[in-house]
Amino acid sequence: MPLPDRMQFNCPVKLICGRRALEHIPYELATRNACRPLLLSDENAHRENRSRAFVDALRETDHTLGLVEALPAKASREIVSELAAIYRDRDHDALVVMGAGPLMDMAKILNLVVSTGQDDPGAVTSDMAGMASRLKPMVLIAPAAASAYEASGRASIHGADLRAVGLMPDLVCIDERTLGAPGQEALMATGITALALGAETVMARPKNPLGDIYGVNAVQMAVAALHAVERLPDAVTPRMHLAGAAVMAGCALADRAPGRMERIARRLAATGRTSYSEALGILLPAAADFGERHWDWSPADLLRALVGLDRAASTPPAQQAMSTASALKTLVNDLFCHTAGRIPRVLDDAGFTREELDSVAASVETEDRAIAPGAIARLFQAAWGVVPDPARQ
Amino acid sequence: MNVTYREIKPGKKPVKRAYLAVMLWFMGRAVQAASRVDRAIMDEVADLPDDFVFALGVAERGPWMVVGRRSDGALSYRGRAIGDDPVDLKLAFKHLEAGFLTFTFRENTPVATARDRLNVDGEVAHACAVVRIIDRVQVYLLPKPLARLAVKRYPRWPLLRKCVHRTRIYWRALLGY
Repeated sequence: MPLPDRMQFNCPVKLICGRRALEHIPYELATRNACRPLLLSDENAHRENRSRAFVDALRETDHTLGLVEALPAKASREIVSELAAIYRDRDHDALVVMGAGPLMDMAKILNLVVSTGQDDPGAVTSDMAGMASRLKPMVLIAPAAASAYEASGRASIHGADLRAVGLMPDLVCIDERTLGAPGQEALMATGITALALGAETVMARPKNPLGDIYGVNAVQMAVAALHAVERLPDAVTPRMHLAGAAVMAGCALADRAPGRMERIARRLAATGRTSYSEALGILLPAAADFGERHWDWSPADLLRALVGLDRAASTPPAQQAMSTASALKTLVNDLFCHTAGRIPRVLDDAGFTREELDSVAASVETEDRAIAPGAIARLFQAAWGVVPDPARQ
Repeated sequence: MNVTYREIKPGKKPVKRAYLAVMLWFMGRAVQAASRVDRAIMDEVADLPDDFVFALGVAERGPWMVVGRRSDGALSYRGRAIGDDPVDLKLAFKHLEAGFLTFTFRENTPVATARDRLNVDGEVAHACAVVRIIDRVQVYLLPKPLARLAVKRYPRWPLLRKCVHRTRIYWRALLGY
Protein backbone atom coordinates (compact mmCIF):
# COMPACT_ATOMS: atom_id res chain seq x y z
CA MET A 1 0.00 0.00 0.00
CA PRO A 2 1.43 3.43 -0.92
CA LEU A 3 1.83 5.89 1.93
CA PRO A 4 -0.95 8.52 1.78
CA ASP A 5 -0.02 12.15 1.17
CA ARG A 6 -1.33 13.20 4.55
CA MET A 7 -1.74 11.00 7.59
CA GLN A 8 -1.09 10.98 11.29
CA PHE A 9 -1.40 8.24 13.84
CA ASN A 10 -1.19 8.35 17.61
CA CYS A 11 -2.12 5.41 19.80
CA PRO A 12 -0.95 5.76 23.40
CA VAL A 13 -2.64 2.54 24.51
CA LYS A 14 -0.41 -0.20 25.85
CA LEU A 15 -2.13 -3.57 25.65
CA ILE A 16 -1.27 -6.37 28.07
CA CYS A 17 -3.10 -9.57 27.37
CA GLY A 18 -2.92 -13.15 28.57
CA ARG A 19 -2.30 -15.30 31.59
CA ARG A 20 -1.63 -13.35 34.80
CA ALA A 21 -1.85 -10.08 32.88
CA LEU A 22 -3.38 -8.27 35.85
CA GLU A 23 -0.14 -8.70 37.78
CA HIS A 24 1.55 -6.32 35.33
CA ILE A 25 -0.67 -3.42 36.40
CA PRO A 26 1.14 -2.49 39.67
CA TYR A 27 4.46 -2.30 37.83
CA GLU A 28 2.94 -0.25 34.99
CA LEU A 29 1.31 2.12 37.48
CA ALA A 30 4.60 2.49 39.34
CA THR A 31 6.35 3.48 36.09
CA ARG A 32 3.74 6.27 35.83
CA ASN A 33 4.39 7.42 39.41
CA ALA A 34 1.06 6.10 40.63
CA CYS A 35 0.57 3.99 43.73
CA ARG A 36 -2.95 4.87 44.90
CA PRO A 37 -5.35 3.71 42.17
CA LEU A 38 -9.10 4.19 42.39
CA LEU A 39 -11.03 1.21 41.02
CA LEU A 40 -14.41 1.86 39.40
CA SER A 41 -16.58 -1.11 38.56
CA ASP A 42 -20.06 -1.52 37.13
CA GLU A 43 -22.88 -3.66 38.45
CA ASN A 44 -21.96 -6.72 36.37
CA ALA A 45 -18.36 -6.69 37.60
CA HIS A 46 -19.54 -6.20 41.17
CA ARG A 47 -22.05 -9.06 40.93
CA GLU A 48 -19.36 -11.40 39.58
CA ASN A 49 -16.85 -10.14 42.17
CA ARG A 50 -14.27 -9.43 39.47
CA SER A 51 -12.49 -6.82 41.58
CA ARG A 52 -11.18 -9.63 43.77
CA ALA A 53 -8.75 -10.71 41.04
CA PHE A 54 -7.37 -7.17 40.82
CA VAL A 55 -7.02 -6.88 44.59
CA ASP A 56 -5.15 -10.18 44.52
CA ALA A 57 -2.83 -8.83 41.81
CA LEU A 58 -1.97 -5.85 44.04
CA ARG A 59 -0.93 -8.00 46.98
CA GLU A 60 2.76 -7.79 47.93
CA THR A 61 2.92 -4.24 46.52
CA ASP A 62 2.88 -0.88 48.28
CA HIS A 63 -0.28 0.22 46.49
CA THR A 64 -3.36 1.38 48.37
CA LEU A 65 -6.57 0.72 46.52
CA GLY A 66 -9.79 2.71 46.67
CA LEU A 67 -12.92 0.95 45.46
CA VAL A 68 -16.20 2.33 44.19
CA GLU A 69 -18.27 -0.59 42.99
CA ALA A 70 -21.65 -1.21 41.39
CA LEU A 71 -21.79 2.14 39.64
CA PRO A 72 -24.97 2.61 37.59
CA ALA A 73 -24.84 2.39 33.80
CA LYS A 74 -25.91 6.00 33.35
CA ALA A 75 -23.97 8.18 35.76
CA SER A 76 -25.33 11.61 36.62
CA ARG A 77 -23.18 14.73 36.88
CA GLU A 78 -23.55 14.53 40.64
CA ILE A 79 -21.92 11.10 40.66
CA VAL A 80 -19.03 12.35 38.53
CA SER A 81 -18.56 15.29 40.92
CA GLU A 82 -18.76 12.98 43.91
CA LEU A 83 -16.16 10.62 42.42
CA ALA A 84 -13.90 13.58 41.60
CA ALA A 85 -14.14 14.72 45.23
CA ILE A 86 -13.22 11.23 46.45
CA TYR A 87 -10.30 11.06 44.00
CA ARG A 88 -8.91 14.38 45.26
CA ASP A 89 -9.68 14.01 48.96
CA ARG A 90 -8.19 10.54 49.19
CA ASP A 91 -5.07 11.44 47.16
CA HIS A 92 -5.64 8.93 44.39
CA ASP A 93 -3.33 9.20 41.43
CA ALA A 94 -4.73 6.77 38.85
CA LEU A 95 -8.03 5.32 37.65
CA VAL A 96 -8.65 1.64 37.05
CA VAL A 97 -11.89 0.86 35.25
CA MET A 98 -13.50 -2.54 35.35
CA GLY A 99 -16.48 -2.30 33.06
CA ALA A 100 -17.69 -1.33 29.62
CA GLY A 101 -19.54 1.29 27.64
CA PRO A 102 -21.13 4.00 29.79
CA LEU A 103 -18.86 3.34 32.79
CA MET A 104 -15.77 3.89 30.63
CA ASP A 105 -17.31 7.08 29.19
CA MET A 106 -17.91 8.31 32.71
CA ALA A 107 -14.34 7.36 33.73
CA LYS A 108 -12.92 9.35 30.79
CA ILE A 109 -14.85 12.43 31.86
CA LEU A 110 -13.83 11.87 35.48
CA ASN A 111 -10.19 11.65 34.41
CA LEU A 112 -10.62 14.89 32.51
CA VAL A 113 -12.16 16.55 35.58
CA VAL A 114 -9.46 15.43 38.02
CA SER A 115 -6.61 16.14 35.59
CA THR A 116 -7.74 19.66 34.68
CA GLY A 117 -8.70 20.61 38.22
CA GLN A 118 -12.21 21.60 37.17
CA ASP A 119 -15.04 21.06 39.61
CA ASP A 120 -17.88 21.01 37.14
CA PRO A 121 -18.01 18.12 34.62
CA GLY A 122 -20.20 20.29 32.37
CA ALA A 123 -17.48 22.92 32.10
CA VAL A 124 -14.94 20.29 31.08
CA THR A 125 -17.13 18.77 28.40
CA SER A 126 -17.95 22.16 26.91
CA ASP A 127 -14.38 23.43 26.86
CA MET A 128 -12.09 20.83 25.38
CA ALA A 129 -9.49 23.52 24.64
CA GLY A 130 -8.66 23.55 28.34
CA MET A 131 -7.86 19.84 28.32
CA ALA A 132 -4.52 18.99 29.89
CA SER A 133 -2.12 17.53 27.36
CA ARG A 134 -1.43 14.59 29.67
CA LEU A 135 -4.21 13.23 31.80
CA LYS A 136 -3.78 11.10 34.93
CA PRO A 137 -2.98 7.43 34.29
CA MET A 138 -6.02 5.38 33.42
CA VAL A 139 -6.19 1.60 33.13
CA LEU A 140 -8.98 -0.35 31.50
CA ILE A 141 -9.52 -3.96 32.58
CA ALA A 142 -11.41 -5.08 29.50
CA PRO A 143 -14.45 -7.35 29.78
CA ALA A 144 -15.55 -9.83 27.10
CA ALA A 145 -18.77 -7.93 26.39
CA ALA A 146 -17.99 -4.35 25.48
CA SER A 147 -19.16 -1.51 23.28
CA ALA A 148 -15.78 -1.44 21.43
CA TYR A 149 -15.46 2.29 22.15
CA GLU A 150 -13.73 1.79 25.52
CA ALA A 151 -10.18 2.06 24.19
CA SER A 152 -11.03 4.83 21.73
CA GLY A 153 -10.54 8.54 22.30
CA ARG A 154 -14.28 9.16 22.27
CA ALA A 155 -16.60 9.70 25.19
CA SER A 156 -20.28 10.41 25.20
CA ILE A 157 -21.93 11.61 28.38
CA HIS A 158 -24.81 13.91 29.26
CA GLY A 159 -25.46 14.62 25.59
CA ALA A 160 -21.90 15.79 24.92
CA ASP A 161 -19.62 13.91 22.52
CA LEU A 162 -15.91 14.38 23.15
CA ARG A 163 -13.02 13.32 20.97
CA ALA A 164 -9.35 13.50 21.96
CA VAL A 165 -6.39 11.12 21.90
CA GLY A 166 -5.78 12.02 25.55
CA LEU A 167 -9.03 10.30 26.50
CA MET A 168 -7.67 6.90 25.45
CA PRO A 169 -6.59 4.74 28.39
CA ASP A 170 -2.85 4.40 29.01
CA LEU A 171 -3.10 0.71 29.59
CA VAL A 172 -5.60 -1.99 28.65
CA CYS A 173 -5.39 -5.31 30.40
CA ILE A 174 -7.14 -8.48 29.18
CA ASP A 175 -7.03 -11.29 31.70
CA GLU A 176 -9.21 -14.37 31.70
CA ARG A 177 -10.12 -13.81 35.38
CA THR A 178 -11.85 -10.52 34.65
CA LEU A 179 -13.61 -11.25 31.35
CA GLY A 180 -16.91 -11.90 33.06
CA ALA A 181 -19.60 -14.34 32.01
CA PRO A 182 -21.95 -12.45 29.70
CA GLY A 183 -24.63 -14.18 27.65
CA GLN A 184 -24.14 -15.31 24.07
CA GLU A 185 -26.07 -12.35 22.66
CA ALA A 186 -23.91 -9.80 24.48
CA LEU A 187 -20.80 -11.55 23.20
CA MET A 188 -22.11 -11.57 19.64
CA ALA A 189 -23.04 -7.90 19.88
CA THR A 190 -19.45 -7.14 20.91
CA GLY A 191 -18.07 -9.20 18.04
CA ILE A 192 -20.33 -7.63 15.43
CA THR A 193 -19.57 -4.09 16.63
CA ALA A 194 -15.81 -4.71 16.67
CA LEU A 195 -16.04 -6.35 13.23
CA ALA A 196 -18.02 -3.49 11.73
CA LEU A 197 -15.92 -0.69 13.24
CA GLY A 198 -12.68 -2.43 12.25
CA ALA A 199 -14.02 -3.11 8.76
CA GLU A 200 -15.10 0.48 8.19
CA THR A 201 -11.68 1.70 9.33
CA VAL A 202 -10.01 -0.54 6.75
CA MET A 203 -12.42 0.11 3.88
CA ALA A 204 -13.28 3.80 4.20
CA ARG A 205 -11.37 6.88 3.07
CA PRO A 206 -9.05 8.51 4.01
CA LYS A 207 -6.73 5.53 4.31
CA ASN A 208 -4.35 5.27 7.23
CA PRO A 209 -1.95 2.30 7.03
CA LEU A 210 -1.35 2.16 10.79
CA GLY A 211 -5.03 2.43 11.63
CA ASP A 212 -5.61 -0.36 9.09
CA ILE A 213 -3.34 -2.67 11.09
CA TYR A 214 -5.56 -2.30 14.15
CA GLY A 215 -8.69 -2.58 11.99
CA VAL A 216 -7.55 -5.79 10.29
CA ASN A 217 -6.64 -7.34 13.63
CA ALA A 218 -10.02 -6.37 15.06
CA VAL A 219 -11.75 -8.04 12.10
CA GLN A 220 -9.65 -11.21 12.31
CA MET A 221 -10.21 -11.61 16.04
CA ALA A 222 -13.92 -10.82 15.80
CA VAL A 223 -14.51 -13.30 12.98
CA ALA A 224 -12.63 -16.08 14.81
CA ALA A 225 -14.47 -15.33 18.04
CA LEU A 226 -17.93 -15.09 16.45
CA HIS A 227 -17.56 -18.54 14.91
CA ALA A 228 -16.35 -19.97 18.25
CA VAL A 229 -18.97 -18.20 20.37
CA GLU A 230 -21.71 -19.83 18.31
CA ARG A 231 -20.53 -23.24 19.51
CA LEU A 232 -18.85 -22.56 22.87
CA PRO A 233 -20.12 -19.34 24.48
CA ASP A 234 -18.45 -20.19 27.81
CA ALA A 235 -14.97 -20.97 26.42
CA VAL A 236 -12.18 -18.63 27.49
CA THR A 237 -10.36 -18.22 24.17
CA PRO A 238 -13.24 -16.71 22.15
CA ARG A 239 -14.03 -14.35 25.01
CA MET A 240 -10.38 -13.26 25.09
CA HIS A 241 -10.54 -12.73 21.32
CA LEU A 242 -13.69 -10.67 21.65
CA ALA A 243 -12.17 -8.46 24.32
CA GLY A 244 -9.09 -8.08 22.12
CA ALA A 245 -11.18 -7.30 19.04
CA ALA A 246 -13.09 -4.61 20.91
CA VAL A 247 -9.84 -3.01 22.11
CA MET A 248 -8.30 -3.17 18.62
CA ALA A 249 -11.39 -1.59 17.10
CA GLY A 250 -11.25 1.18 19.71
CA CYS A 251 -7.59 1.81 18.96
CA ALA A 252 -8.36 1.89 15.22
CA LEU A 253 -11.01 4.53 15.83
CA ALA A 254 -8.78 6.61 18.14
CA ASP A 255 -10.19 10.13 18.05
CA ARG A 256 -11.55 10.01 14.50
CA ALA A 257 -14.96 11.46 13.76
CA PRO A 258 -17.68 8.79 13.49
CA GLY A 259 -17.69 7.06 10.11
CA ARG A 260 -20.58 7.08 7.68
CA MET A 261 -21.75 3.58 8.55
CA GLU A 262 -21.55 4.32 12.27
CA ARG A 263 -23.76 7.39 11.89
CA ILE A 264 -26.34 5.54 9.83
CA ALA A 265 -26.40 2.64 12.32
CA ARG A 266 -26.95 5.09 15.18
CA ARG A 267 -29.93 6.58 13.33
CA LEU A 268 -31.34 3.11 12.68
CA ALA A 269 -30.88 2.13 16.33
CA ALA A 270 -32.61 5.32 17.43
CA THR A 271 -35.83 4.10 15.80
CA GLY A 272 -35.97 1.34 18.43
CA ARG A 273 -36.37 -1.46 15.87
CA THR A 274 -32.91 -2.82 16.42
CA SER A 275 -29.83 -2.37 18.56
CA TYR A 276 -26.75 -0.46 17.44
CA SER A 277 -24.67 -3.61 16.96
CA GLU A 278 -27.42 -5.34 14.98
CA ALA A 279 -27.78 -2.27 12.77
CA LEU A 280 -24.04 -2.37 12.09
CA GLY A 281 -24.28 -6.08 11.26
CA ILE A 282 -27.11 -5.46 8.79
CA LEU A 283 -25.41 -2.52 7.13
CA LEU A 284 -21.88 -3.91 6.88
CA PRO A 285 -22.27 -6.30 3.88
CA ALA A 286 -24.43 -3.83 1.98
CA ALA A 287 -22.12 -0.91 2.79
CA ALA A 288 -19.07 -2.88 1.61
CA ASP A 289 -20.75 -3.47 -1.73
CA PHE A 290 -22.32 -0.02 -2.02
CA GLY A 291 -19.30 1.86 -0.67
CA GLU A 292 -17.00 0.36 -3.28
CA ARG A 293 -19.21 1.71 -6.09
CA HIS A 294 -20.24 5.06 -4.70
CA TRP A 295 -17.91 6.16 -1.88
CA ASP A 296 -14.52 4.97 -3.14
CA TRP A 297 -14.25 2.40 -0.34
CA SER A 298 -11.80 -0.48 -0.76
CA PRO A 299 -13.43 -3.67 0.59
CA ALA A 300 -10.75 -5.74 -1.17
CA ASP A 301 -8.33 -4.71 1.61
CA LEU A 302 -10.50 -6.66 4.04
CA LEU A 303 -10.67 -9.95 2.19
CA ARG A 304 -7.52 -11.48 3.69
CA ALA A 305 -8.76 -10.80 7.23
CA LEU A 306 -12.09 -12.42 6.47
CA VAL A 307 -11.23 -15.54 4.52
CA GLY A 308 -7.52 -16.11 5.17
CA LEU A 309 -4.41 -15.66 3.09
CA ASP A 310 -4.82 -18.68 0.79
CA ARG A 311 -8.35 -17.92 -0.32
CA ALA A 312 -7.60 -14.22 -0.67
CA ALA A 313 -4.55 -14.98 -2.80
CA SER A 314 -6.56 -17.31 -5.03
CA THR A 315 -9.20 -14.62 -5.67
CA PRO A 316 -8.52 -12.42 -8.73
CA PRO A 317 -8.07 -8.73 -7.80
CA ALA A 318 -11.15 -7.74 -9.78
CA GLN A 319 -13.30 -10.12 -7.71
CA GLN A 320 -11.90 -9.32 -4.29
CA ALA A 321 -14.32 -6.52 -3.43
CA MET A 322 -17.30 -8.68 -4.39
CA SER A 323 -15.86 -11.61 -2.45
CA THR A 324 -15.49 -9.43 0.65
CA ALA A 325 -19.14 -8.41 0.53
CA SER A 326 -20.10 -12.01 -0.08
CA ALA A 327 -18.02 -13.25 2.89
CA LEU A 328 -19.63 -10.64 5.13
CA LYS A 329 -23.11 -11.65 3.95
CA THR A 330 -22.32 -15.31 4.65
CA LEU A 331 -21.07 -14.47 8.12
CA VAL A 332 -24.19 -12.46 9.03
CA ASN A 333 -26.45 -15.15 7.58
CA ASP A 334 -24.66 -17.81 9.66
CA LEU A 335 -25.16 -15.73 12.80
CA PHE A 336 -28.86 -15.45 11.95
CA CYS A 337 -29.15 -19.24 11.64
CA HIS A 338 -27.15 -20.07 14.76
CA THR A 339 -29.10 -17.64 16.93
CA ALA A 340 -32.45 -18.85 15.59
CA GLY A 341 -33.14 -15.48 14.00
CA ARG A 342 -32.34 -13.31 17.00
CA ILE A 343 -29.58 -11.52 15.05
CA PRO A 344 -31.18 -10.03 11.92
CA ARG A 345 -29.55 -10.47 8.51
CA VAL A 346 -31.32 -7.67 6.68
CA LEU A 347 -33.50 -4.66 7.44
CA ASP A 348 -36.56 -6.74 6.65
CA ASP A 349 -35.72 -9.18 9.49
CA ALA A 350 -35.49 -6.30 11.96
CA GLY A 351 -39.04 -5.21 11.12
CA PHE A 352 -38.33 -1.77 9.66
CA THR A 353 -41.04 -0.09 7.63
CA ARG A 354 -40.34 1.81 4.41
CA GLU A 355 -41.48 5.05 6.05
CA GLU A 356 -39.00 4.64 8.90
CA LEU A 357 -36.17 4.00 6.48
CA ASP A 358 -37.12 7.01 4.33
CA SER A 359 -37.10 9.15 7.45
CA VAL A 360 -33.68 7.83 8.54
CA ALA A 361 -32.27 8.31 5.03
CA ALA A 362 -33.51 11.90 4.92
CA SER A 363 -32.02 12.72 8.33
CA VAL A 364 -28.63 11.19 7.41
CA GLU A 365 -28.50 13.09 4.11
CA THR A 366 -29.40 16.30 5.90
CA GLU A 367 -26.58 15.74 8.38
CA ASP A 368 -23.95 14.77 5.81
CA ARG A 369 -24.07 17.01 2.75
CA ALA A 370 -21.30 15.04 1.05
CA ILE A 371 -23.70 12.15 0.47
CA ALA A 372 -25.43 12.27 -2.90
CA PRO A 373 -29.22 12.63 -2.69
CA GLY A 374 -30.89 9.23 -2.74
CA ALA A 375 -27.69 7.33 -1.89
CA ILE A 376 -28.82 6.25 1.56
CA ALA A 377 -32.16 5.10 0.18
CA ARG A 378 -30.29 2.94 -2.34
CA LEU A 379 -28.06 1.59 0.45
CA PHE A 380 -31.16 0.68 2.42
CA GLN A 381 -32.60 -1.05 -0.63
CA ALA A 382 -29.46 -3.16 -0.83
CA ALA A 383 -29.66 -3.87 2.92
CA TRP A 384 -33.37 -4.66 2.73
CA GLY A 385 -32.60 -8.13 1.51
CA VAL A 386 -34.93 -8.29 -1.48
CA VAL A 387 -34.30 -5.43 -3.87
CA PRO A 388 -30.81 -5.40 -5.40
CA ASP A 389 -28.74 -2.24 -5.65
CA PRO A 390 -30.05 -0.46 -8.79
CA ALA A 391 -26.59 0.81 -9.66
CA ARG A 392 -25.46 -2.78 -10.15
CA GLN A 393 -28.10 -3.39 -12.82
CA MET B 1 -27.40 8.33 44.67
CA ASN B 2 -24.44 8.23 47.05
CA VAL B 3 -21.46 6.19 45.96
CA THR B 4 -19.97 3.74 48.44
CA TYR B 5 -16.25 4.12 48.84
CA ARG B 6 -13.87 1.85 50.66
CA GLU B 7 -10.11 1.74 50.84
CA ILE B 8 -8.02 -1.37 51.25
CA LYS B 9 -4.41 -2.38 51.60
CA PRO B 10 -4.27 -5.50 49.45
CA GLY B 11 -2.14 -7.53 51.87
CA LYS B 12 0.60 -10.10 51.48
CA LYS B 13 1.32 -13.61 50.19
CA PRO B 14 3.52 -15.03 52.95
CA VAL B 15 3.55 -18.63 51.76
CA LYS B 16 4.60 -17.78 48.21
CA ARG B 17 7.17 -15.33 49.53
CA ALA B 18 8.64 -17.94 51.86
CA TYR B 19 8.75 -20.53 49.04
CA LEU B 20 10.59 -18.11 46.77
CA ALA B 21 12.99 -17.15 49.56
CA VAL B 22 13.91 -20.80 50.14
CA MET B 23 14.28 -21.51 46.41
CA LEU B 24 16.48 -18.47 45.86
CA TRP B 25 18.57 -19.24 48.94
CA PHE B 26 19.25 -22.79 47.75
CA MET B 27 19.77 -21.66 44.16
CA GLY B 28 22.34 -19.09 45.33
CA ARG B 29 24.29 -21.71 47.23
CA ALA B 30 24.02 -24.11 44.30
CA VAL B 31 25.34 -21.46 41.88
CA GLN B 32 28.29 -20.96 44.23
CA ALA B 33 28.92 -24.71 44.35
CA ALA B 34 28.51 -25.20 40.60
CA SER B 35 31.05 -22.50 39.83
CA ARG B 36 33.64 -24.74 41.48
CA VAL B 37 32.46 -27.99 39.88
CA ASP B 38 31.29 -27.48 36.29
CA ARG B 39 33.81 -26.53 33.63
CA ALA B 40 31.33 -24.66 31.39
CA ILE B 41 30.15 -22.53 34.31
CA MET B 42 33.77 -21.80 35.24
CA ASP B 43 34.34 -20.55 31.69
CA GLU B 44 31.21 -18.35 31.82
CA VAL B 45 32.32 -16.88 35.16
CA ALA B 46 35.82 -16.28 33.83
CA ASP B 47 34.36 -13.98 31.16
CA LEU B 48 32.56 -11.84 33.75
CA PRO B 49 34.35 -8.74 35.10
CA ASP B 50 36.22 -8.85 38.42
CA ASP B 51 34.02 -8.21 41.48
CA PHE B 52 30.93 -8.56 39.30
CA VAL B 53 27.77 -8.79 41.42
CA PHE B 54 24.38 -9.91 40.15
CA ALA B 55 21.01 -10.30 41.83
CA LEU B 56 17.99 -12.34 40.88
CA GLY B 57 14.71 -11.80 42.70
CA VAL B 58 11.40 -9.99 42.92
CA ALA B 59 11.24 -6.25 42.32
CA GLU B 60 10.81 -3.83 45.22
CA ARG B 61 10.50 -6.08 48.26
CA GLY B 62 12.51 -9.12 47.24
CA PRO B 63 13.44 -11.80 48.16
CA TRP B 64 16.72 -11.72 46.29
CA MET B 65 19.58 -13.97 45.53
CA VAL B 66 22.78 -11.90 45.44
CA VAL B 67 25.86 -13.55 43.97
CA GLY B 68 29.28 -12.04 43.37
CA ARG B 69 32.42 -13.06 41.50
CA ARG B 70 35.45 -13.50 43.72
CA SER B 71 39.01 -12.69 42.77
CA ASP B 72 39.82 -16.41 42.43
CA GLY B 73 37.26 -16.71 39.63
CA ALA B 74 34.55 -18.54 41.58
CA LEU B 75 31.10 -17.24 42.50
CA SER B 76 30.02 -16.67 46.07
CA TYR B 77 26.50 -16.37 47.45
CA ARG B 78 26.16 -13.04 49.29
CA GLY B 79 22.77 -13.38 50.88
CA ARG B 80 19.12 -12.64 50.15
CA ALA B 81 19.07 -8.87 50.47
CA ILE B 82 20.54 -6.16 48.29
CA GLY B 83 22.58 -4.01 50.62
CA ASP B 84 24.33 -0.75 50.02
CA ASP B 85 26.95 -2.31 47.78
CA PRO B 86 26.36 -1.67 44.09
CA VAL B 87 24.87 -4.47 42.00
CA ASP B 88 26.13 -4.67 38.41
CA LEU B 89 23.22 -6.71 37.08
CA LYS B 90 19.73 -6.98 38.48
CA LEU B 91 17.25 -9.53 37.11
CA ALA B 92 13.96 -8.61 38.76
CA PHE B 93 10.61 -10.30 38.37
CA LYS B 94 8.04 -7.54 38.16
CA HIS B 95 5.74 -9.26 40.64
CA LEU B 96 5.95 -12.01 43.22
CA GLU B 97 3.49 -14.02 41.13
CA ALA B 98 5.82 -13.88 38.12
CA GLY B 99 8.69 -15.25 40.20
CA PHE B 100 6.40 -17.91 41.59
CA LEU B 101 5.41 -19.03 38.09
CA THR B 102 9.07 -19.44 37.14
CA PHE B 103 10.18 -21.15 40.34
CA THR B 104 7.27 -23.58 40.24
CA PHE B 105 8.48 -24.44 36.71
CA ARG B 106 5.30 -23.42 34.96
CA GLU B 107 7.25 -20.88 32.90
CA ASN B 108 10.92 -21.02 32.05
CA THR B 109 13.13 -17.95 31.96
CA PRO B 110 12.88 -17.31 28.19
CA VAL B 111 9.09 -17.56 28.34
CA ALA B 112 8.95 -15.25 31.36
CA THR B 113 11.13 -12.78 29.46
CA ALA B 114 8.94 -13.07 26.36
CA ARG B 115 5.87 -12.39 28.47
CA ASP B 116 7.49 -9.26 29.86
CA ARG B 117 7.64 -10.54 33.43
CA LEU B 118 11.35 -10.01 33.92
CA ASN B 119 13.14 -6.70 34.16
CA VAL B 120 16.86 -6.56 33.41
CA ASP B 121 18.97 -3.71 34.75
CA GLY B 122 22.52 -4.07 33.47
CA GLU B 123 24.48 -5.35 30.49
CA VAL B 124 22.49 -7.67 28.26
CA ALA B 125 25.57 -9.80 27.52
CA HIS B 126 26.13 -10.34 31.24
CA ALA B 127 22.43 -11.13 31.72
CA CYS B 128 22.63 -13.80 29.02
CA ALA B 129 25.70 -15.33 30.71
CA VAL B 130 23.93 -15.37 34.09
CA VAL B 131 20.84 -17.00 32.57
CA ARG B 132 23.05 -19.68 30.99
CA ILE B 133 24.69 -20.33 34.37
CA ILE B 134 21.32 -20.56 36.14
CA ASP B 135 19.99 -22.89 33.42
CA ARG B 136 22.93 -25.29 33.90
CA VAL B 137 22.49 -25.19 37.67
CA GLN B 138 18.80 -26.01 37.29
CA VAL B 139 19.67 -28.99 35.11
CA TYR B 140 21.94 -30.27 37.88
CA LEU B 141 19.49 -29.59 40.69
CA LEU B 142 16.23 -30.78 39.23
CA PRO B 143 15.08 -34.21 38.07
CA LYS B 144 14.80 -34.41 34.30
CA PRO B 145 10.98 -33.97 33.99
CA LEU B 146 11.10 -30.75 36.04
CA ALA B 147 14.31 -29.48 34.46
CA ARG B 148 12.77 -29.83 30.99
CA LEU B 149 10.11 -27.35 32.09
CA ALA B 150 12.63 -25.00 33.66
CA VAL B 151 15.05 -24.62 30.76
CA LYS B 152 14.48 -23.89 27.10
CA ARG B 153 16.47 -26.86 25.80
CA TYR B 154 17.49 -29.82 27.95
CA PRO B 155 21.16 -30.66 27.25
CA ARG B 156 22.54 -34.12 26.45
CA TRP B 157 25.25 -34.78 29.00
CA PRO B 158 27.00 -38.06 29.83
CA LEU B 159 25.07 -39.74 32.62
CA LEU B 160 28.13 -40.36 34.79
CA ARG B 161 29.26 -36.73 34.62
CA LYS B 162 25.78 -35.49 35.42
CA CYS B 163 25.40 -37.80 38.42
CA VAL B 164 28.84 -37.06 39.84
CA HIS B 165 28.49 -33.30 39.40
CA ARG B 166 24.95 -33.33 40.73
CA THR B 167 26.06 -35.09 43.90
CA ARG B 168 28.98 -32.72 44.41
CA ILE B 169 26.82 -29.64 43.81
CA TYR B 170 24.13 -30.87 46.22
CA TRP B 171 26.67 -31.57 48.96
CA ARG B 172 28.46 -28.27 48.48
CA ALA B 173 25.16 -26.36 48.39
CA LEU B 174 23.97 -27.99 51.61
CA LEU B 175 27.27 -27.43 53.38
CA GLY B 176 27.74 -23.99 51.86
CA TYR B 177 31.25 -24.17 50.44
